[in-house]
Amino acid sequence: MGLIKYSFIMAAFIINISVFAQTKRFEADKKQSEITYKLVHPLHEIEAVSKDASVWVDLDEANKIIQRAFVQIPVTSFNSGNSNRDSHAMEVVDAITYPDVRFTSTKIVRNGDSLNIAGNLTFHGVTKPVNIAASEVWSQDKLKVDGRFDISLTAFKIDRPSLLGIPVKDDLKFTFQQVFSLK
Amino acid sequence: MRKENHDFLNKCNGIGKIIPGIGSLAGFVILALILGMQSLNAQPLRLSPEPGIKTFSYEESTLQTDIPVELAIISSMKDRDTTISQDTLSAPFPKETEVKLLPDRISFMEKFLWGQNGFLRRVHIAAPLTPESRKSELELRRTMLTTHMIGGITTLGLMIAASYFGQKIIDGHRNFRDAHQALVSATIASYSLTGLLAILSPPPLIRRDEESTITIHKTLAWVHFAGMVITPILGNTIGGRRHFNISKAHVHQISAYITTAVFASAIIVITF
Repeated sequence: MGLIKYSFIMAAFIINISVFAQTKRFEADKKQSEITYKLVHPLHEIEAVSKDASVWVDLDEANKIIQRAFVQIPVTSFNSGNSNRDSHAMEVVDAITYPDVRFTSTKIVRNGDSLNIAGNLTFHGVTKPVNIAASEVWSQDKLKVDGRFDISLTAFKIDRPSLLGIPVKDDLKFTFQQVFSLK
Repeated sequence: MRKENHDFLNKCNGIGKIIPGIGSLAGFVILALILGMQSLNAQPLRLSPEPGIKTFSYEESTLQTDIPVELAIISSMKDRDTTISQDTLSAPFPKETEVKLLPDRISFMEKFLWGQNGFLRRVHIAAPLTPESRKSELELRRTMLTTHMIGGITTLGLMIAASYFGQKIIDGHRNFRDAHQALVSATIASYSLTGLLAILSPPPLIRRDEESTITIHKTLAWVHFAGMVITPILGNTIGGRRHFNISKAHVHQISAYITTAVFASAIIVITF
């Protein structure tokens, strides 16, 4: 009788481990991934790209489901092709005090290949909820996630930078492409 | 003897019945702990009422700062090192990125004045290099560059005015000579102050090896600086009212117009 109980416990333990093993954490391949912000000024548009974002997802590989997502981007990694302008951007976001942008998902809604990723974005020391519209493409050994979201500079207590006395628009538009190797 | 043996066997039988019971109980406790620990990572699946849409959610508290209930129970049960680090249960974020206080590419003047052991720090005009002092320096840099921009536009206005009166003199209105001279002096003073604001400003946070509008702005600065040195020298060769040399005046005029055009281009280029 005791042996049966032990067998039952061990079986439950093994099943439990196998269930736990379904969720696995993957980090995006930085060589194939990027995140871009776009800032609009009446005289011109500015685009800056970061190829140094650290992005992790918790995946249920068996069911091909993204369960959680985490992002950390060094603000100094954004490159607009003009380091003087980027340095000015670092001044307005106070990069020395707040060197990273962080995102943690709280809820992921899937509708076909589309995803609505809700989460908290911490930028310039301010945390705000954001919603990210994304799409996912699964292949045998890769997962590609594209998406976009907008934030308000003033909502994150950032003084809008100006050129020739004219400030940029309040909307900061982000787009991203992240590729995860599933091997 | 037999009775003693019988009692001993009965005791052993009793213990034999108890041990599997204790073992089972311990097994269930361990299983409950494992399930509890795993529930910190597991996300409860919720199906939305809409067909075809799956919603996955989990409590935010497990991600951020609140200690999950299960972890609190484990911690209270065993105050040992076996408690799970909260980091391993939530976000995988590494430490905050360390921002370099000075850029990798720094000019000679910036290094001399604002480097880690720069002149301004050694004579205690600037504070030692710390994150806080660097933030103040970046604010100073912004103020200096904004003033540089205003100074540039002012200088351009003075240049155009000096060129206008210079043209009048060449056209025969020699009485504008004093006005031209005054505007030239003001232009040189404004130009020098504007240039010094850029040259003496603290270094930026980032400077990459790249070609940008600022590269063009700085290249044009060398050209208009040469023009600002040559043009007044050429002006001095024209001579006074009695010995006005018109051909030398034209050379001076062309030099002044080129310098003004290059200076204006240097301003316009940074708006791209």
